[in-house]
Amino acid sequence: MRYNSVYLVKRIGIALVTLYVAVTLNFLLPRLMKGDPASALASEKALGSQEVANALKAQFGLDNPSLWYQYAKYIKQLLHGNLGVSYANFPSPVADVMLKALPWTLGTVLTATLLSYLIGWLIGIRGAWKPGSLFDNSTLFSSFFLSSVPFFWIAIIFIMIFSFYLGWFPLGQAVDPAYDSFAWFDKAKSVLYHAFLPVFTLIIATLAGHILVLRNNLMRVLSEDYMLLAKAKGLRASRRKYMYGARNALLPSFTGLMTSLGHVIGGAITTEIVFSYPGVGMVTFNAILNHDFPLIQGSFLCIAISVIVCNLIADLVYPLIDPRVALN
Amino acid sequence: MKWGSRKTSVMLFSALVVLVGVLNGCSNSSSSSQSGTNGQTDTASSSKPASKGDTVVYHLGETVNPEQVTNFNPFLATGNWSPFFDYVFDPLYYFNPVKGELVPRLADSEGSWSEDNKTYTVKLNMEAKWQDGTPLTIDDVLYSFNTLKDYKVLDRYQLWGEGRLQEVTAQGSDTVVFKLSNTFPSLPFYLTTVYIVPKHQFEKEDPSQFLNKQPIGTGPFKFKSINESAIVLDKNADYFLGAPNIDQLFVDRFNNSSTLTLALEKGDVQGSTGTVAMPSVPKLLENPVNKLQVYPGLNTFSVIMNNEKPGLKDSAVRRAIQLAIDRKSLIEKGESNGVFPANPGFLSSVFSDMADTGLIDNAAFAYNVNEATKLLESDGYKKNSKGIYEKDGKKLSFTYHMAANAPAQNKEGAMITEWLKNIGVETTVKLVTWPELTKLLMSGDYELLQNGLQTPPDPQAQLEIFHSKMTAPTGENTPGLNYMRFRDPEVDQWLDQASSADAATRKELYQKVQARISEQAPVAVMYNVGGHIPYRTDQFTNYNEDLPVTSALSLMQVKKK
Repeated sequence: MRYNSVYLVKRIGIALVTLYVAVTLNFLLPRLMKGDPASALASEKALGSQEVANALKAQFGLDNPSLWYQYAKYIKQLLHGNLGVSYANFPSPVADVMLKALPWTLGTVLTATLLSYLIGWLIGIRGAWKPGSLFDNSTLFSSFFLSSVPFFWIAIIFIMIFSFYLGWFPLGQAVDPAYDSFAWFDKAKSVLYHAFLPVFTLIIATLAGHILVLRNNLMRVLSEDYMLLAKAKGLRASRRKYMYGARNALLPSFTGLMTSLGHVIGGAITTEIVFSYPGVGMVTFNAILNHDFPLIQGSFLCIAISVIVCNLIADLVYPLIDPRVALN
Repeated sequence: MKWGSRKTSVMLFSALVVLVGVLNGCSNSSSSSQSGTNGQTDTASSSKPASKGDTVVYHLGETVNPEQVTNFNPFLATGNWSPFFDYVFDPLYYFNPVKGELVPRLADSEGSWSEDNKTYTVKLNMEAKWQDGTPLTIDDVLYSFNTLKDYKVLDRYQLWGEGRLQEVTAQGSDTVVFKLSNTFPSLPFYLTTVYIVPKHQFEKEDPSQFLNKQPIGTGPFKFKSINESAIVLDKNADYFLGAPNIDQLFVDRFNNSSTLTLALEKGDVQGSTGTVAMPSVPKLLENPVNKLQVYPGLNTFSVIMNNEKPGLKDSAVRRAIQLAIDRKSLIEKGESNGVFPANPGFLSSVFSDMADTGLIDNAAFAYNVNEATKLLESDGYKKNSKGIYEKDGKKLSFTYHMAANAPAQNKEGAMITEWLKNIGVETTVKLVTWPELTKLLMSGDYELLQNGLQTPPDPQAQLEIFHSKMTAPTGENTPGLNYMRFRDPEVDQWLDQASSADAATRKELYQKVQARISEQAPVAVMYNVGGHIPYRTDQFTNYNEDLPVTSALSLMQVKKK
């Protein structure tokens, strides 16, 4: 181990304090929005009846308007692992709503993030090895073109071409409507088939940045003296490229990857809307529109935890992959 | 060096092969399902055939978000997609918005009033059966209504409120008696809002919390399963009003109207219960197999005005604002003719026997810039150097709230604020969320606000929006939908009389109220949203256009061509 226990405790301590601040902000932010969910619901569904609004407030636990009371209740619930009950999904618990949406988000956004980095890195390495080559120029140009147009536009164009006109893919949704009657193998196929276009567009939309960061870093590393020495020693090109060049050039991209992974759980709202795909993004978005405080809190809490945990992992792993970084 | 670059190429190529493989696998799945070897329904890759072997499948598309399928409990206002209940459950009567009339469902026929108009008796159709095979009993009906009494939070329309239901009892084994504490002629309309639930399933649960994941109704369709993309319903072959002709009803779930409309255009779905991307309607209707059924409804979009605010206190200003709105243009450009012109007297034309529909085309309330400016000038307003009218140094400048993230609303808001400028009324647009709009309406902290006003299917409830008992001074929350803070003692008196009058007197009183509302213009009406139902006619026929074509009663008659 390259770091001592003081370093570990300090990092974990900072993570916990950040988490506490996030939890508190989580509580406060939705309440800064004007409008009271119970009255809005009564107005929409019960002719604005105050009686129904009051009954709903009691049901939602909003009958005591004191923020301190609600805060204490919220913290107490959290410590018991209870995220509360969603208003818009009443009486379903927030955890159930989140758990239903989470697998779809992880399946698409996580896969897309990992593949996008992997493909971006591979293209970046090859481009840096021969800068200015046909491959380098064409991949840079096309990925930049695709990244500079709005993501939803690419998604819509893909749907129109591949789903509407060619009929290769579904127009949206996560599975076939008749999914329930499928055998397990067809179920898996249906999930993959429906996830393909959303994942593909997410990869295309984020690729350029990953290519560029690695390509430029690698070009800088390749100009270092030790690379020349390695060549002079007669090391194989592939060894120089991957073990000497890419390994050093990857370090800044690794931090980028960990940050992206932290945000995976937030979902990809545009993808979800355009592809009618379920996921955390849409759940959070609707929760905000519905002033569903517990659900907003639950979903932001998940995002906060995943960002904090990924950052912590990055902090702890970094000294292992870059021996020059000594942390104590 | 050469080897290295080849390796990268190999890796990239392999990735491509994997992608193509997935693609290939998928197209195989669609072809194998088309061959129909395993008895499963096809995948979504191509236009869905209406039948699979002998099974006739109807795909209805809707925007059904995850928060709309967390329960199937018809008592709950949240966590469900309400049209579901029309297919699986039955109320005593169904309100048919196309004709504005009640259609018996679990009731055997029209109910009867006692002489003093305080008792309403309904005979049940005892042929009805629960989908688990248990026969419907009168206890189920009593339980459903009494639950609203026991759980206030579920009694959304105050059926057990003051002057309304006092007791619901059985008379013999097939007749329900609704006893009222005062006359309440609208009761039959409210009976349409209560779905009858099986007592034997619900009594073991707390009905205000019950998720009812396996719903059992008496309706024409039975719940089969639900997944991320569809709610699957089977036909109820034992339905007491006749078995549906289609075997399965899929409610295909989308989370936006654009994709749903594309699916309609492609033929993946056959219709919706009312959701369609309005800007795509002209394109959709270019194909003659696509139809759009439009009928008036219970939601009237308006520029709601706080009648207590300076300037808006003045009925001449409110009338001028109403005259500045070109309703025809709004309906054509903003809503692609998918909505109905609203009645300046407010009562929806869905209540065809009560509504003064003559007001809709009355030139005195139609778009007229000259008339609007004349009205303002005769009221003492003069244009200032910027072309804005003012009186006593106060100019006609108002905040204009509308919903954020609502493109059609925003487009219409832009049209309206431009028209207001044409008559010398200045506006400052503010975009807020839907719940915030409600909060502003309730507290009165607004001047002009664009939103819908929706009521249950009852003309009295719709006009009582203008009753002073439904309002409160600016700064206090209103107890009802009179967000305008409109007060007119005569209107109150007419409505109070109407609440217990016979049909002919009610009609007369409602005409008076409508005339007064159109003169006083407490709101500037835009259009009336009921149904705009898109549906395809290439694979299915026999839609009942006297009903909403995709409602349960129409869909059970629909046949495969």
